[in-house]
Amino acid sequence: MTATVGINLLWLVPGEVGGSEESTVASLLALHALGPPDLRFRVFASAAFAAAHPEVARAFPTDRWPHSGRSRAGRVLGESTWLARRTADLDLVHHAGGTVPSVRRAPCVLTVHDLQPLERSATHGSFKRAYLRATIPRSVRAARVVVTPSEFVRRSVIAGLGVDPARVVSVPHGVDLPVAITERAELEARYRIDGPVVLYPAITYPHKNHLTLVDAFAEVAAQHPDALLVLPGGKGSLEDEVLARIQVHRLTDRVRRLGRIPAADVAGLYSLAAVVAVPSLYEGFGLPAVEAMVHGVALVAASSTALPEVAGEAGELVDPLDASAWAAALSALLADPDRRARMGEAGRVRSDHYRSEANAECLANVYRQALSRA
Amino acid sequence: MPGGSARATLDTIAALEARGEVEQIGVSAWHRQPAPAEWQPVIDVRALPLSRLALYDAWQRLRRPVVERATGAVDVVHATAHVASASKAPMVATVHDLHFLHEPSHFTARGISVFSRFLAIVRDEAAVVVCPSQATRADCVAAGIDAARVRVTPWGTAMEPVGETEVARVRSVHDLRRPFVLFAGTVEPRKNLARLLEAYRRLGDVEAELVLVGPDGWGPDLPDEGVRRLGFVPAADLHALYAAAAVVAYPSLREGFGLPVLEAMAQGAVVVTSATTATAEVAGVAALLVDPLDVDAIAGALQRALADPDLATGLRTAARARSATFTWSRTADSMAAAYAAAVGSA
Repeated sequence: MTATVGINLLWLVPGEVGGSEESTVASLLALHALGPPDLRFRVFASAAFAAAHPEVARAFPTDRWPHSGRSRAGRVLGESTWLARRTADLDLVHHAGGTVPSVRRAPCVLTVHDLQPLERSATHGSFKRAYLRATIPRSVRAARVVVTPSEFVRRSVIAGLGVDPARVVSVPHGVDLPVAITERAELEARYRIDGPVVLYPAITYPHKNHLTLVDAFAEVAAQHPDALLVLPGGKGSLEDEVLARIQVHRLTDRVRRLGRIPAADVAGLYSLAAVVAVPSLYEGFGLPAVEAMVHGVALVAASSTALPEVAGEAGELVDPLDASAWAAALSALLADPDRRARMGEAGRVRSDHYRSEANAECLANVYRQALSRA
Repeated sequence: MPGGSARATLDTIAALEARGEVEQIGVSAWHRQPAPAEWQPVIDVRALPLSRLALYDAWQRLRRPVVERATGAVDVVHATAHVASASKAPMVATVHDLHFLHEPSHFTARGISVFSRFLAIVRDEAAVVVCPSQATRADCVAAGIDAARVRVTPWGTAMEPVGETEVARVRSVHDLRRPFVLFAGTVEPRKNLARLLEAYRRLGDVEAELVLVGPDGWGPDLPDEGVRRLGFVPAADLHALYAAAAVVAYPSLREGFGLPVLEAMAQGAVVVTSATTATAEVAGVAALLVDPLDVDAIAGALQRALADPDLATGLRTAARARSATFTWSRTADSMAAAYAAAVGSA
């Protein structure tokens, strides 16, 4: 018997949701390639998304929502009206954006990326936080199966929201080696890369913990005067403080705060980096940690939230609040190319578990399990 | 007989030996007779001149004698299970589980005292702590061990899928003509068999019978009515039984890892297991997860697994694929990285 599964992508605004865009598209294409005989799919996305990813619209019957999705209120309304009407007769709908619309007719699967809005307060604006605080618990109760990107978030959902643990499953995101990677020479010229690179790509949100890394790097630079700290990623609420801290340590010459740069450049920076550092205080998955592994780069990650689980044997773990420990770990690695190479190789091997094919196979099983829970 | 953690330790040692790079020397207590061949590590083992209990006591109370008296200088000492070997070298300690903190009534007073002492030494002294699952890692961090020192090195399986003739053979040897739900493991309260039996009974009118495999452990007697008990079976038979079963049920209350789940998955079994302990990590989405305290939920999962062929086929394929990623060579790589981290921290 063939069941039809709708995939709600109205939340996915092209160019604005960060790494989950690439990973969602890769998983959808992998799901198409997998072609499970018992499942049929229908995609519901904004016209802008369909235009940005014609390969998805070619692979699946796609209903185009005539809005951008940029306005949260508009999207919430669209999901409860336009989407609810079109999905009423489907066997299952997957809402991969963290919330389930309040009006829905078909049974659903929900992906919860993290519970940060419930656990921490600094990252989100107060309106958005209040909205999510009200919506996430209701959404989780409504879903037949809740998908989380890590065992860590799975535990938070079970413990924090009191959900039946049997309905919550962990499926890591799919992360593939990017197709477009900018050449080394080009990057060296464009970003003045003239020494071994410690890379941390992240928006300057407070929980990304740039300040600890900058403090640590002041000690690293004393021992490795040629080393560079390279910080791509958009501006968050801590941008000015991060810039000020770089000034205070007189590191303006050794830290490259690049802001938002093209994805191919970020990929190129991974492939030339000596070490990737992920000192984040909260990660539901930790995309930069997996990207470091995909590129075969040594990884130092915070010892909390999902990072230890994702880094596994390929990463060194450091207390995210202990700047001296970060300095010691980074300096030791910069001085030991053999160990960096071994960690990088371990990462490459480990990154196999995170390919989009694996993610797609898991999703197909999640759908079957949700369908059987009628 | 040693259990899953002993088997896993021996298989890790063998995989590390095959991998090279790490030179291993075993240290044991003085034994009157050698262990059976199946339970001997593949590496050179030196004995310290104390009986097992005396050695464990001396190690944990006095932190002597140091292993170097038997081995000469070493770079790392690895306390593989429940006893903190004494050494001058940095310690890597395996914590398989911390069940004793959750269910002290399942342990003797002496057991609790040994485990508590081990945990205290590990917390204060271990450079690196390795656990087989995120569940055990979370227990370690909750017990006060510094999170930056705790790593997860999942166990593996080297099991080959058995062929159809083997499946036919065990069916005939054990006279299993109907579809069956299999439980394999020692009969003890932690394995939650009473609820599994009750769930099976609530299935009502099903074609499948319930088959229990494994030695008697301890705990209240189970009713035999409507249940086939095969007792201990050889490993080869067990593997074929996993492959033959309609469903393998393992709704254990608490596991440090849950090797039977992985081994059943390696045979492409449809597994129903617990959502609340390490088995959920091993299973991923390649099995049906249940709240092990909820008898109706266990019954419901058995029912779905027996009645929905698309679901069962998807689970069998996913189980084979997922189990193939759990290799002992991956465990060995992970363990070698833990040793390197311990050396680096010295």
